[in-house]
Amino acid sequence: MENAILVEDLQKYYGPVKAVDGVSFKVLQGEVFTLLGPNGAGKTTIIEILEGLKEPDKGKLTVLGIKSNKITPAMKDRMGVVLQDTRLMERLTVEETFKLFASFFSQTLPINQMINKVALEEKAKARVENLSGGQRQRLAIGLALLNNPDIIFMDEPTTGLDPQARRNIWDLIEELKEEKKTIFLTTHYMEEAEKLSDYIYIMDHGQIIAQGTPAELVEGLDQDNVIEFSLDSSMGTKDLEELEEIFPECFLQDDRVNIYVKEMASSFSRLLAWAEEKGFSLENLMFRRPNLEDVFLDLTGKGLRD
Amino acid sequence: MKPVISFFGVFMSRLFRDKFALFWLLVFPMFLLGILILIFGNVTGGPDSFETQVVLVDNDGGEIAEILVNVLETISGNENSWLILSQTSDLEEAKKGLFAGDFQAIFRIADSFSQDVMANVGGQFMGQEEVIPGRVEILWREGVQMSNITATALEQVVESFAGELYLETGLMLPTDRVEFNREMAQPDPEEGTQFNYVNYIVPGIILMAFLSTGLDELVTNMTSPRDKGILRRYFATPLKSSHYIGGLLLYIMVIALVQLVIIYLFGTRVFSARIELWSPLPMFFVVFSLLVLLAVGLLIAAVAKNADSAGRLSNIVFYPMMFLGGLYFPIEGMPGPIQLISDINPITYLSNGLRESLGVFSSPTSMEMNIIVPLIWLIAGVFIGVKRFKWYVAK
Repeated sequence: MENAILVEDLQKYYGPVKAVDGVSFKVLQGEVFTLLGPNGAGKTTIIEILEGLKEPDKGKLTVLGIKSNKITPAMKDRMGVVLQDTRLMERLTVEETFKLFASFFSQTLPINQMINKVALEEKAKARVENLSGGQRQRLAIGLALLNNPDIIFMDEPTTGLDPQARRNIWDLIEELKEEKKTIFLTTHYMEEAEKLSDYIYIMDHGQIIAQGTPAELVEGLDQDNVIEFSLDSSMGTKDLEELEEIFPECFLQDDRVNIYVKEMASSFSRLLAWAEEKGFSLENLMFRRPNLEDVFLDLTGKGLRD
Repeated sequence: MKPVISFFGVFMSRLFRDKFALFWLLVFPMFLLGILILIFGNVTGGPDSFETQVVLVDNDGGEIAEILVNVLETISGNENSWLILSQTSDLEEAKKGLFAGDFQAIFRIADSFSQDVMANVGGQFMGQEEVIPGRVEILWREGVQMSNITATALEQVVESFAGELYLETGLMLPTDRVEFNREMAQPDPEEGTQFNYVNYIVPGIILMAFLSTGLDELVTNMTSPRDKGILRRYFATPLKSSHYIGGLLLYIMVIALVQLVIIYLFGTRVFSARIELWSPLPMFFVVFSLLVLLAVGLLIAAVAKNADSAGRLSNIVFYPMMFLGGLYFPIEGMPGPIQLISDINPITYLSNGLRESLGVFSSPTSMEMNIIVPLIWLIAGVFIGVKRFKWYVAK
């Protein structure tokens, strides 16, 4: 499969700060590629470089077979972009906004088709200022699909949306996936990355710290289960240290204790025994599989949402 | 081209959805025109409201001079007379007073006036053709309309003097035997025109409309969408910045044209203004003015850090440009710094040029200057604007 995007040793500085510190990766055609990381990791900088909104200080880009050190209008003609915060002229209607954007490209799909695709038929004549958050985001996605792009960039597409709106966006992305579109996604939501991605690069502080499919990344933890419970107020540092001796993979996140174990049953009975002995109650007890949040925690000692 | 037309359409749609902006654009210039004419429009030289100060310098003192002086004194002695007369024998003092604005004109009877007139009349009887005329000098201030009007009025006085002379002395005096000349270069008065404020103000209102709308629309539509991130979304597509500016300029020119037509129709139909706008030189100045003001707008947009400071800068620039540009009244003899602003203000020259080209008011500045100074602003504005304007806000 050909590379839709190839990035080699990308660097971007803001003064002394290395926002992007020597990042390389490739995006295959037809896959959903995700940059996962906390705020400030450099994801938005990278995607903005790929969208042509910023210029890199160093590095090579190859987009849709064209090699360049920056994004050209010809490349932009084949790309669709959903910015982190799409700002549009508020007093235009949905339909007028589509018409305006359609005039920017050499070829576009029919506007009515796009309006239907993002389920905004009822709002076609409504002004942008009267749309809800979820509707605005669907409009933004519709605008990004107008020119039937080969690559679609989405920067944090569901940030700030309510769960229902978020679901709607995920459904749209799944549809695009089935149409074999190449999608480049950035997010700090673990479930989003897990649910949608074919391949993930995890970033922190301008660098890539892990990569793989969601399954590969989780497998890399080499732990199959997680036991979670709320920190008992009577637990002190000494108690936690004791717990760590029994279970080496033991982390505290906010007020939740996360214990990573290979085997559930035996680990749980040992935990129960310890808790009973100490007189601790295991409040809000939960058993789950490890996820990308755990991967990130393991790599960096902090959460994706920190 | 497609994006240029698209943006033009988008700006127009948005304008029609903003009732307040529409009012400002279309109704306000008419409103302002009407108000100014109602307030100042009385200055048209009608006898009822006209009043002026003249200083008489009688360097002759002879009999015939006395008759002329009597004429003047009689006129000024009338109740509600337009003429307020003072006298001095010192011409220099009178000149000082003229330039200080104490008087609008000096009426000077030359040294040998009486003698010359007598000789003149005598010569007539003798059948002589070549005679020396008696001299009266009417000294007035260039560029000050009241002065101009006063001088015209005084000329008429001298003409009526001939009749008076005959009555007093029995001497027939052909009117062209008294020469009066005007000191200070004088452009030909229009059809005996008196200063007509309506004709003066309509070109001013046109420029004001361009200044307030054109400049504002340019500055706002370049800085505000940039700051909000709207332009950013556009530039993630193949759209070029020149397309965006093209659509914006097209939009501004169309609304400027609409304003021009509305102000012209309102001024000529409602207030009977007589201005020949639709001929080459005035149209040149109209188009030239718009371009110069847009260049100033571009300069402001480029120099200001963001939309807010661009707005503030526009305001700071707008009022001096408007009031010290001769839009509503002539700017003459102001204190130093204020006169300086007027002297570098492109509107001063543009309004002078427009009025001169329409023939409603003679330009105190030369036509060359009227083109050169605004042209400098145009070039500087475009050059600096294009170089310095940031399409992307640094994040």
